[in-house]
This record gives sequence, structure tokens and C-alpha cells, in this order.
Amino acid sequence: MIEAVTILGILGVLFGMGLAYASKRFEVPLDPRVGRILDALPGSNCGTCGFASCDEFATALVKDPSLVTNCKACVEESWLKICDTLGLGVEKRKQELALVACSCDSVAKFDYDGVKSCAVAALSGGGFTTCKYACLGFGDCVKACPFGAIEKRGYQFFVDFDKCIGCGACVDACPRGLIKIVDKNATVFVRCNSRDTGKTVAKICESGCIACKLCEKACEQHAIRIENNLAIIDYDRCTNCGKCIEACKFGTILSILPPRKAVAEAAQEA
Amino acid sequence: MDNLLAIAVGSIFVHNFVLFRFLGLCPFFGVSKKTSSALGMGVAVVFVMTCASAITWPVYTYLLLPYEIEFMRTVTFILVIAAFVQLVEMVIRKHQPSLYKSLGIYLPLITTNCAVLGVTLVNLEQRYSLIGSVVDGFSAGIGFTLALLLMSGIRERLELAHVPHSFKGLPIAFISAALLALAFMAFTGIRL
Repeated sequence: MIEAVTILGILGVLFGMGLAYASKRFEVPLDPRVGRILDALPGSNCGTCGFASCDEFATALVKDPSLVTNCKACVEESWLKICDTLGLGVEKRKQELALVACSCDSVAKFDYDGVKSCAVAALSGGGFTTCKYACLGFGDCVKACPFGAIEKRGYQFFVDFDKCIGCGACVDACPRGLIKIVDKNATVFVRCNSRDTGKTVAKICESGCIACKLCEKACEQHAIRIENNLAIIDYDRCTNCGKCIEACKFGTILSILPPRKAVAEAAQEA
Repeated sequence: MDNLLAIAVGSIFVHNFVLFRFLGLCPFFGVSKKTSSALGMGVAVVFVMTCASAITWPVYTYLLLPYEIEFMRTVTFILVIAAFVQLVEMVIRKHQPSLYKSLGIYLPLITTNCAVLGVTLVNLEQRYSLIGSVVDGFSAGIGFTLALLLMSGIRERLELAHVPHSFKGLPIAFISAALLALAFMAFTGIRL
């Protein structure tokens, strides 16, 4: 008993000391910038940058500073810190945001009693919503979001604009491809993804796009076009004037998200 | 004196660690998707098994046996192997950065690989001498690499084959591994 404890104890101490000495003796000097960048990175290992972890990204960043725009998750402050560490001038970065392109107004055409997952529900009988493009509401996107930015209130899903970084994890999770990545400064958004004809949409949904082209005509920048019975906004041209919102309100059919502030208020009321 | 040839052939083919003793199955399935990574893992295992056999033999013979604490061998060997792998990792990182990069992920994995611990315990069970242990460790590593390479070759082919949907990926890999193990059972007929 005593021999066992002593010998194993001595062995352990010897190995410990040996390893401690070796770690000093064989120390590989790391670029100090890697550590500083790693501190500034969010550490969520979301993988948006194309690397498996923030650690790997930091190492690659020191070698090739042009990758800096790859990280979408870091906040403004850390962004400045990283640019500073790499000796870059502060670059303007494109910030993006995910939005759910459905008002979730579509009713159920049959009772679905299966697994509570959008991916499964979308396969059963072509999905239980009358609109075959509509949100199924089980929140696969909520589960997929690494930042907890999507929340379900009532039937609808809301994206927290402060938390969302536009990584696109939810885009892949949605079996109906309802989630769109848009510019973070955008104030208008087509909240519908239905390619059905206007007649069909009008029958089954109160707020779907019926492709009436009123928004297309109202837009002075020619930023909106109707494609496959759905209004599509070209955010490179859009000036956020909001004319399309008014135009659509008149028709009450094509919903375009009002300015962000109003959305936040509406969300709070809901 | 041990018959070194018998030991070598025995651990490579007859008592192959993966396909006969069923040790080290985790890396066998985890790292056998691509031949290149299988080879990297194999080389790392050969190296660690050889050195582990060489180190644990004197520790057992001159430390554990005289004080009659053989029952502590599993714990002691884990300690020895883990410390050794750590040391090797540090040395490689310092002196061979390119080798470290290719082996990097596999080395820490090997620390907890039961095949490495297994080979040291088998050495004692068979009462090999120091040289016998080293040869056994080396050839056990070669046997492991052989199994890994065979498996990765099969799995690369399977990628192209029409496998039923429900069997895709791991299930068909398990079935192929079973057939491979069956084939290796034929070696038990060899008398050395």
C-alpha cells in the first residue's frame, strides 16, 4: 500500500516536473498578435469565417490580414481592436442580418401530429400549411442559431437585430428557404416567399405577396422587380425611402417591413 | 530469447490489434475516411506504441515488480504514456513544425487510445523481454496501420458505390469492418 502510493507519487511528481521543464525548454514563441486577436474575437466558434474555430481564424488572420472581413460575429469595438492589431486602417464592413420572409398567416390544411420539427413537417404530405411556401413554425431556425437571436412570439419569428450577425446558420436549417440574409441597414423587406399566383395567394393568406406590381411602380430607384409572382428588392439600389411600404399598405397585401424602430415597437407590443 | 519473427508476424496478422483484439476501434472508424489521414494516424501510432513498449517494460520490471505492486500497472502505464506523448508533442512542435502539423491532431488522441495501453499490457502477459516488447510494440503499430489503411481504402471505394440510403456512412463501414475481421481470422491457423 505505502509502496504503491510512494512510487506512483514519485513518478507523478517526476513526470510533472519533467513536463514543466520541457514546456519551458521547447517553448514555441507565438505571435503575440494571435493572442490579442483571439481576445477580441467572440469565441463562439460559429464557423462563419470558414475556419473551424476562432483560434484557427486568429492564426490565419495574422498571416493574411485580408481575411479580416470574414468574421461577422465580432462587435464594433472588437472589430476596431482587430484592425488596429493587424495594422489595418478601419475598414467599413458589410453587416448583414437574417430575416424570416413569411408572416405566418397561412392556416393549416390538416392536423399534423408528427415530430415537432420543420424539416420533418415539410416532408409529411408536402407540409401542413395551405400555403406551400409558408413557415411551419416549429422553430428549426431557433435551434440552429448559435447566438440565440431568433425568438418565437405568437406564430411569428422575430430576429433580434443586435444579436444577429447574418451567419446564415438558420438559412440552411429552414426546409422552406424562408430566411433571407439582407443588409443590416435595410429598412424594407418583402415578408413573403410565395411564388404562387396572386389569385392563389389572396385566397389563403392575408399578407402574402400577390405580385400586383404597385411597389414596383412606386419605387423611384427601380429597385423592386416582380419575379415569379414575388417582389424582390435589390438592396444595392434601394435608398430606404419607404415608398414601397406606403404603396403596399394601400394594397395591404405585400408586406414590407417598416423601418427597424417600428418593427421593434411592434414586436414589443406583440 | 523470444522468437522475434514470430512476435512480429503474430502482432501484425494473427493477433491484429484492431481486427482480432478489437482494441483502438475509435480511431479505426474515426480516422479511416481518407487514406492520407489514416497513414498519418498509423505512423503516429507505430511511433507511440514502440516507445511506450520500450518505456513501460523497465518501469514494470525495475519499479513495480521489486515492490510487488504489479496491480498498479494500468494506472502507472496510463501515466507514463500520457506524459510521454505530451513530451513528444512538445519536442515535435519545436523541432519539426511540418510533422507537428500533420500529426498534431492525432498525437493527443493517441494518449487515450486503448490499443497503446493494450500493447503494453500484452507485453507483460506474454512475458516478453525488452527487445521482444519493443518488436511487439512496433509490429502492433504496423498491424494497426495496416488495418487502418485497408479500411480507408475500402471506405474510399464505398463512397463511389451504390450503397442503400439507410446504410450510407457508418453502418456500411461497420459491415465492411466485420468482413475484414472475418478475413483476418484466417491467420489464426498460422503456426509459428
